[in-house]
Amino acid sequence: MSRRASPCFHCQEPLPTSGALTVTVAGKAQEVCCAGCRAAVEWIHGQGLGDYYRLRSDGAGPGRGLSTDFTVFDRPAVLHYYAGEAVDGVLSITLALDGLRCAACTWLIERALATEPGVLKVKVQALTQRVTLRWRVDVVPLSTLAGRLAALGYTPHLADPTHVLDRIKRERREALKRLVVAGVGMMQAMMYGVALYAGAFEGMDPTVRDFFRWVSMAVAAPVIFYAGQPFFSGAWRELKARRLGMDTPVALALALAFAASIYESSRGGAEVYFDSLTMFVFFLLLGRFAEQGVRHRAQVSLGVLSSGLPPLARRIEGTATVEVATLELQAGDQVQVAAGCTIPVDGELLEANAEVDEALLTGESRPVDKRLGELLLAGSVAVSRPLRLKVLRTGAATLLSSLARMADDAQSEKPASLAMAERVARFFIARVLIFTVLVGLVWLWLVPERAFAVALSVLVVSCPCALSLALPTALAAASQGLGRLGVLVVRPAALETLAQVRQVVFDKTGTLTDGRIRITRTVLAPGYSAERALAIAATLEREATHPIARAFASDVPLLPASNRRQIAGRGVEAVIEGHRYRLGRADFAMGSAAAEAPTLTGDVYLAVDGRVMAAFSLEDQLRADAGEALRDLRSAGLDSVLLSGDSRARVAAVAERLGMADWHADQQPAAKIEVLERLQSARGAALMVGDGVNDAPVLGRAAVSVAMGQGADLAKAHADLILLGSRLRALPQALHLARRTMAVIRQNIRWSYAYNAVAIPAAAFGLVPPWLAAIGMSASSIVVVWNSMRLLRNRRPANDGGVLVEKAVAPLSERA
Amino acid sequence: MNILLVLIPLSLILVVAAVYAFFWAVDNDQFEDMETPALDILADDDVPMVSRAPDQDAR
Repeated sequence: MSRRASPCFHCQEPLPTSGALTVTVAGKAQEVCCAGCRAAVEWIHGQGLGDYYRLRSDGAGPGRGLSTDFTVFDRPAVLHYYAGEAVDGVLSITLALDGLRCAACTWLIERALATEPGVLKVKVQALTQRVTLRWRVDVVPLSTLAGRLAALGYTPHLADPTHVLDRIKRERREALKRLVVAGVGMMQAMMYGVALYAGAFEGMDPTVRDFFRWVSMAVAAPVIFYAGQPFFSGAWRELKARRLGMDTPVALALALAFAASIYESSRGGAEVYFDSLTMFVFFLLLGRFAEQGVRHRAQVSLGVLSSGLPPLARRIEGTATVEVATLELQAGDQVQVAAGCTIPVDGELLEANAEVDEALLTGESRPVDKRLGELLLAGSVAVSRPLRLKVLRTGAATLLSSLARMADDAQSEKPASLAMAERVARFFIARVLIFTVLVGLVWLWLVPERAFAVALSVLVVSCPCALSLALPTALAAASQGLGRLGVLVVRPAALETLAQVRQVVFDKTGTLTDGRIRITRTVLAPGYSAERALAIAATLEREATHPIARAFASDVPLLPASNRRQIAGRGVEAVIEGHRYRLGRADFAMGSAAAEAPTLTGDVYLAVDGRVMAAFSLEDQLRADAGEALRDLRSAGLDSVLLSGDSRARVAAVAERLGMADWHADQQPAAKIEVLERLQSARGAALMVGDGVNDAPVLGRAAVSVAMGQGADLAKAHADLILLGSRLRALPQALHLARRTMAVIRQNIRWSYAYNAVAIPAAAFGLVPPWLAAIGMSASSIVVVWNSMRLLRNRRPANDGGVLVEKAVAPLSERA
Repeated sequence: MNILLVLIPLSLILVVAAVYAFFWAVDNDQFEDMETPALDILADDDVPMVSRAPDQDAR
């Protein structure tokens, strides 16, 4: 583990413990983690876009090579459905992208695609993680452009036009407009306010004074009624729900002060509050804008909007197959699913046998054999070869969707971790309102002409503004800090719970391991070399689609082979240099001679003409920093538990290697929930980390949940946090940051209390005029915002993360 | 002080114009991406754009 200091040059993920590749950039050898990343680096430099590596602030998604097949994107049905009608041979489509991490990604994509012939316009929307392309269909097929994106590490997906994105965009625009109206209005009102105060001290002609007052009203009105409109509608909602919230006193103060100011202006009274009002609205909106930004980024960023099922399916019509949208399928249709593709519906198998990977649904990491007539589940993957099935259930009726609903239910039963400040503020608001009325009544009895000004001062000075900012600003800052660690915050309130977590529960496949099967051990029969055995194995598996085949894919030169055959569930065979080689299960590779090779043990055997040549042990490799992450968690005083749907032996092996005493194997989703709840009631709040669809219900039930960025969309949709990339060490760091965040929030709240404890009595005794109250309120808010921003000055653990920065500024001035 | 009667309404007109311009900018996607444009000027992009793009109206 000592070499983890240097991450992959392209994607910044930790390098695999063995088998890293190198690429020469500007005469300097750089290590990359896989062939895909190497291809991406070479292409980017070949295009003269090497500046990307200087500009970016975060790693790229791992490159996927140029091999990924997107020809389906070119089908007329697809283009018609997603891109509409061509106008003069020009089409426009919006694709969802995985892996947009920083501004340099946008820069790279727009430049990289613009160099393709036939592309007219490329626009990346970083906020919504979409790219909009306008291109000439007759010059370049969409699949070429999609393949280019994938090769760079940004996998494109067909995206259904969605209203959620439109709503987010609209909300953001409205908030921005309101904020600016409030800001500009505040500046204007302040200037007139200065003139009025100066006039009050130096003496001012009443006509001029009234003129200034009416002008102030003219700028304050749009601030109150346009920019402040969310407070009034919020107060109305709270009123209808009979729940006292932050908006009620705000709306009340705004309405009262505005009405009173107009009344005072009309009768030439002593005091108007237009300047204080606009300032009040602006600072409140600023806090909300920060909070909204965090929420939107999270909603959009990953898969939250997609269902996890392929948007397309191949329907069998007579002897041909036709590409249709999955939505069009009906029960009774026959569907063909290509090897390696996700099954779009629940259905009955029409083949004699088939191998499917149900990892997303059951957590079982090995493919499952299915026979004629057996049920295939939507979301599982046809592993070794194409298969046909008869549609039974589609869309919402599928097991995948019911799992999603189960997760929804689990979510709604989540312990209501009501934000601390909101509880406090609600408690506070009721008392402030009552107190204000009491103070007003007392003054009305003693000094009637000052009663309104004093009551207003109390209401403004005690506005729980600082209190209401205490939480959102700290959470916004923390979300940004977490973003730098590679942790995406989906539900900001989860940070509070994250700080209280007592234990961490991990899923195995795809979470502690990277979900990619690798060769861990090669045992050779006498007389053979490892290179030779691996070369033959790579040749045999070259065209195979089984996940195991990827374990053998490497850079060794392949040998010419003929008579290839792939036998589902058993292995592959081919004739190489006149000999029949077989790779697969022992009884398949060696036939009846299997029992005679007790010295060689492994998961997969390679045999030549029935004689064993080598045995390979395969394993889903642990993530490079899993051990360190667990150690960090231990030193932070947290227990770690392994909770997996995989077989006992595999789970035990992983637990032993990581030194985890507490592990549970063979757990179905319902059982996982049970175990988790037992753990939570025994030891307190748990952080659940998972990646699969089967994890989604458990994720919903845990106090806080983290989904892996490469995991199933469904898991991500139900997680509170999403771990981008594959650095597990970000978890302990995120916990540390969460604890600091809660400390800052507590400071903020204490400060607000202290301020109120001084200011409210002062205001109640009539010592604070409304203008001073507004300044005091704003100053206390600014202190809170500043305190929260301290979280952005991130003290990262010194032994980590510095790598990213170094790499980002490394000179790359080559331009061949 | 009568000049105020001209100057202040004038300033209000300017403010309205500025806010209107801002609304226009927001509605025309000027605030969708706050980061990439800052990077654009850091890279001298002429090299790849000219030598690599056969389609000159690529952008």
